[in-house]
Amino acid sequence: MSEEFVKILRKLCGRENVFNNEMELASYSYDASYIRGQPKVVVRPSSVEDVAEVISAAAEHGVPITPRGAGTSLVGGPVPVRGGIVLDMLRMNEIVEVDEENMHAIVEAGVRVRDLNARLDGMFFPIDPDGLGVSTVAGLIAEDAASPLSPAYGTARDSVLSVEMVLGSGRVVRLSGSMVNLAVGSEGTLGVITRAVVRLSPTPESMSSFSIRVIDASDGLDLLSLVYSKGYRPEVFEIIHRDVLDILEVDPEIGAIVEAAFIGSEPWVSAQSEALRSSVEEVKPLGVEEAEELPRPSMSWLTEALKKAERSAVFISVSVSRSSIRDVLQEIDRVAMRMRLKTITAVNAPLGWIISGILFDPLDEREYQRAIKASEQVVHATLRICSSARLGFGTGIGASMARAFEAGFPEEADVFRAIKSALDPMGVMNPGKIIP
Amino acid sequence: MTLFSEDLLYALSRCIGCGNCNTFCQVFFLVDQREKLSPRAWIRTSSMVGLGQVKVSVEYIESLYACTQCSLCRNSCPVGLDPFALIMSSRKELIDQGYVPPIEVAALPEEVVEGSPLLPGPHWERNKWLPRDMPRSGRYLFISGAWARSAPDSAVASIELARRRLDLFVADREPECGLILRLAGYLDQYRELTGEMLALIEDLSPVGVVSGCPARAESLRELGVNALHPVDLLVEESPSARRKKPKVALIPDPLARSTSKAAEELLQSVLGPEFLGSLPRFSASCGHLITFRSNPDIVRSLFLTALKEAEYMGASEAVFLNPLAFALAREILRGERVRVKISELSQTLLKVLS
Repeated sequence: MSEEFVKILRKLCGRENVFNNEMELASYSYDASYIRGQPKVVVRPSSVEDVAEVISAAAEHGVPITPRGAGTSLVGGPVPVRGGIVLDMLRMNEIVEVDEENMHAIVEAGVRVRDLNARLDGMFFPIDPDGLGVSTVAGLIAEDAASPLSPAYGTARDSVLSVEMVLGSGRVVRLSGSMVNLAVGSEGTLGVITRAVVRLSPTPESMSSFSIRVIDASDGLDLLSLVYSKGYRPEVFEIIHRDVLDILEVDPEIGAIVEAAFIGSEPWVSAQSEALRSSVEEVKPLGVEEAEELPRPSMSWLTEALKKAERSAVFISVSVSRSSIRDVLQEIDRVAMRMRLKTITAVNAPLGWIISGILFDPLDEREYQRAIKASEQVVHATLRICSSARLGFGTGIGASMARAFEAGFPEEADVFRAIKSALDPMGVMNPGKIIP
Repeated sequence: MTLFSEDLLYALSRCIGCGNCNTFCQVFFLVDQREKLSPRAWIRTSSMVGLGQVKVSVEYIESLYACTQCSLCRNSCPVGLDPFALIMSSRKELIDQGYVPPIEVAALPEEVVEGSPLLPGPHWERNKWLPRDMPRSGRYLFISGAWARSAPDSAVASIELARRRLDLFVADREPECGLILRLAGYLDQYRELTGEMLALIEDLSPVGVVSGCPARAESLRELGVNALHPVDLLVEESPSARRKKPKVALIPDPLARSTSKAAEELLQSVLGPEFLGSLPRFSASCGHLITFRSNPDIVRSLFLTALKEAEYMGASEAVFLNPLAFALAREILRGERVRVKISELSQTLLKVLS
């Protein structure tokens, strides 16, 4: 990148908001995945005008541009794999409006879930994948993120009403209705979300959770089918796979733990809980604990296992039909055994969403390569097992699975290319993501 | 052969990059969430440097010293890393490898021994300022510390508080505590000074030690010394307050967690509703002096932000638990227009206790 171009960016956004020294660039070369890529320059815009001008300049000069929120993606979404500009959106962090009557909030791109929820009373924004609230709302939209509560509240797609977005051409547009889906899960490949109107949900009046120890994940899935067959629908139903429990040295008799919850009005919750209690006995559980708070999120189980194992992990995230979950779990176990690697896996069963971390010694390059290879094998096996499989959740799959997407879904990849060439004619928006 | 020890490099490289620690970092928010000055970046870039992916540079070393070691990030890591400790170890191992910290920080070991404006007087001679009537023998040894010359009013207050309960004496001469060197990465020098301190204590064999600095008291306790801070003496008695009570917000000391908690309890019982609690996102210790040396603007802004927060809470007085941090704040905020008065805990207590 030429010094001239950096000068242009400085003129547009101010010297103090454009960086290209080495440590600065290194600090924007990662997210929470194993993907790495060094930008050539970091720009920190403070307004939609800044964003539009920077994107126009990037398009004119053919420089790649990658938007970034809190950098918490597990799939490399905000990592600039083709260099160029990283657009750090964290300075645009104003909660513009909370409309209590209509139960929506207008937020700038850099607002974190934790800060939004802290501002709300009697309502909340339900998409919080890690339960920590660190991620930005716009980042979650861009990845179409899911969370433990997604069976009840949907994924990010279901909580976004409209967005303001700067397209790859530099044009600022407002997208609502079904058009909002151009922003959802597109991972900054079509444009940059600068502002969003999100739907808020009422804080549930009552909740009851169950932690159920079962022989294996299959029993957990059977339990879910039983509950469904009675006409009830748990708001949370996550299964912690045996591989996590092994690392945590849980009693070997226990092959999986189900973390389930019902939330809503008092009578609804107690009726649902009763249905679960009567179904649980049919799968002969090894133990059941009840509480009146949200259950422990699967991500917290996974990180505790990482803490105990003192390892790092390559994460993969796939969603499959519910009937394929068993086979995919078996495949993960098989690959792990064959590659002599440990895994940590959890399933959001109603969504068919499986997240698995493949553990490696962070100083052992060969083991790391083996972990990446194992992750690819699991992805390919998943596509074989389930014809309706999706990589990641929604379309946000980052750079980690771009090749698999192209191979597994060639027609969709073509359609995506056509949309991209219309909205990002110079191909500068987050290249290398979704498709290779 | 790598730059860092295998243990440190392993821990650094185990970071999963979730960024939770960043949301606890006062410096990160001060710089408008610029990733370079955040715990995650300190850990990640140190890992890159250790793995040889990025070369050691002045920029890298300077950025490491922007951390004030406030330690609010300590328990934030979901995979069990301690960002605070990793940053401290990175500093230490860089020094061991011959990489000099920013020049003003590199001057610290000498200043701690020889003296400087904020750490005045030569090592071993620093208690010469003490009140004339301080006895040279008794049951509890009072140790002052370098800060006491910058904030003698606070030191006298802590002596007076402690003397209400204990039979106190001072040594003719005393060595420097050197905690600040530990935070700066000069671990060997710190150990040496600690050895001198322990030798003095052994020599005088007091029943216990009283320190006006809570961080020093707690670190001595870790070393097996019966060390107390005046707050520890008062907290169990629930003393009562006199006259008009100020509205107080406490600035805790991150290196003295149990004393911070005790100070909260004490202020609560003495001031009742006039105690507004600890500042939720700010704490201060001698680590701030290190950062002040390399990044003065950051520390000045941090203090100003903290006082604004105290004002927002409704406080008329922001009370530092750590006396060196208080001395530093008083020094650099001189001439600034600040609505909230700053003080140090012992002074405040002395004023309000009946």
